[in-house]
Amino acid sequence: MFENHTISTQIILREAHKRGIKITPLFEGKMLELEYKGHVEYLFTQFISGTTAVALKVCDNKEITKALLSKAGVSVPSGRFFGAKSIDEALKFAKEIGYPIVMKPTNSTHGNCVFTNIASDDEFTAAFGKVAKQFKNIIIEKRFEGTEYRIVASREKVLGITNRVPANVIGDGNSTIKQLIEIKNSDKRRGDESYMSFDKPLVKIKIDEIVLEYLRKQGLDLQSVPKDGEQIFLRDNSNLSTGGDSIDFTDKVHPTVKEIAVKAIKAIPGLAYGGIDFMASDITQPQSKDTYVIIEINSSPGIFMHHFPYEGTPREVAKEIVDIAFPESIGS
Amino acid sequence: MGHKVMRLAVKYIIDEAEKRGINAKFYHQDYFVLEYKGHKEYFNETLSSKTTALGSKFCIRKDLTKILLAEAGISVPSGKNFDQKDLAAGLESAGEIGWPVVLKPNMGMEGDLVFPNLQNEAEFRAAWDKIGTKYSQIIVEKMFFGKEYRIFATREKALSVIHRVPANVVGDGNRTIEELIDIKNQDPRRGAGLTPLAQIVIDDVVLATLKKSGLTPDHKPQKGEQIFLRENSNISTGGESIDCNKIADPSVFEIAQRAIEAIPGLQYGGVDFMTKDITKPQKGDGYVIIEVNSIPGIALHHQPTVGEPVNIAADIIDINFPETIRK
Repeated sequence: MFENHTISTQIILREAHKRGIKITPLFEGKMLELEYKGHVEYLFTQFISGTTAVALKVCDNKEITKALLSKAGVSVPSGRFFGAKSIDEALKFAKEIGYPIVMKPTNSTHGNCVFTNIASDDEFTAAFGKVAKQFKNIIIEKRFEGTEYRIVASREKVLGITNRVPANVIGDGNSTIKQLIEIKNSDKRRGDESYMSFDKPLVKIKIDEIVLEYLRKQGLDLQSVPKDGEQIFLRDNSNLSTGGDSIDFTDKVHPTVKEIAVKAIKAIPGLAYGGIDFMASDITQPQSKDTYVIIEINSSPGIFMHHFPYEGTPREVAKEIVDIAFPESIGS
Repeated sequence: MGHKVMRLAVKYIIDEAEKRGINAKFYHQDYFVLEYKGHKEYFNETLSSKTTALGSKFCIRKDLTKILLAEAGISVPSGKNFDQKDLAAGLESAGEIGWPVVLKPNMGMEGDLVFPNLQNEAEFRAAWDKIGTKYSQIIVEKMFFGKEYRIFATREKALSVIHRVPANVVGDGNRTIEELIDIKNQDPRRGAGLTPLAQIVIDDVVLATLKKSGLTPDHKPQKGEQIFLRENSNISTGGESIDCNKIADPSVFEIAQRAIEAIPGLQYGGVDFMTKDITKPQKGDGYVIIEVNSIPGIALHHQPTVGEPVNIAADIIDINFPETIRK
């Protein structure tokens, strides 16, 4: 049902359907109307009923998000924003805070033009040129060393926490990297396509130029034999669409992480729920102001990874979201 | 309040709020919160937390706005939305709709890269290329010939109809266009800071517009002759606003109100309305609604260049803080 929608939308629709909420596609399916005993909500790209327009604008602008989080006592990366023409000023600031730094536009989506590890003046100049071509305002911030987690939370509680790990294999002491990839790809949950479906919630690791280059940088190739238990990363990016793994951390984190996540959602006026990009040096330990940062908040987060983790317990985020939109349907 | 207000619209809202004992606090640039006895509403310029995220998305995506309006029986320009890669399909549809056409980005703001009155394939291609470098979706629609109005409306009623006129000068028989512009620019309402009108700047667009009529800034218009300096009527580029509340037909108000009501989650907005004659009952192809703005400017209603002011800020506060309405 509704195959032309994103997989995250389909999960929500499935949950709504289960409760007897009536779903009507409007305007060639661009928008969906959900109705339960006279109460109507609309679904568009992701579920955003209940979230206000002001909240959406705040989340679209990383500068304002950071200002609000920081005011609420939530740690964010230290940084400043610059106009696309102020390269000299921006470069001076980068040197002040010290490399490595992160550079990104204040209002991009889906990681477009985000540089997470700029280590020199040359890299800075090249990256700035690229971002400035497309965007008016650019954020320069200190790179936080740690692991990134995606936390979906409402104004009341955390709904799911996932760590996305770049495509990787773990050695057994005998098999080559190529063989280990083949073994990992034989997992029935991994599909050939770069998008996920209910049957194939994960994606096969493709051996391409990027993987070969990434191995070469580590002094390895496809015929290398990793030691037993040794983890070899095959890519830099942690996208699930290029063979990354999703690992559920919901019950593994320290309770302070959940407190901070809820505080962050509540810091954004009018946001019903959101996806928080959370970085920590050790998420199992109590968090204090220097041990973590929140990078940004997504007002219409994908929820698929929480429902179908590679490792760990699936989290029924869609159920919580439908609860928020149709509280009267709880239990039906 | 220790914060530099950057926009006139924000100033009007805050002045009205403070008059009613509602407390205002800025949290970032044009983002502020109003609070009355524990009741808080968050604002970004004129957009408040009463409008939902969905409501504003429907306005930002002009293709969706048009679908919603058409469903409600309101006239919109016929046309379609295309991926910027599909130039061939876009051109084909221009042929079907019939020249001249308008090209604009599906999700552009404040009149950015809107190309009206494209007459042929060459003009179409040039405009398409310009939009395509910045936006991924492009709307092709039928050109409507008429006058442009901006109407502020809520879900219950339309409150103010303003005719927007592109930057222009009126000749006195002696002075050149450039001299007439200088005189117009001395109007204190076109001054620096928070003023309701903007300076007219002679830039490439003005020169190109004059050239189309075979004119230059040295030309001396006849007495009473009006010379338009731009095609777009944005106040920010020197345009003017004329109050039409007394002359507009009641059907204009009714259609604008229905347009707001057609968009789920939108509490109020600015309706871009075009018509051949605002004083006549509006029907069929005599008018079109081009788009609906979820963060409408209100200065043009508060301080029209010609006519009576309408206090839109008071209505915005009424909707957000009904408990402060004076009975």
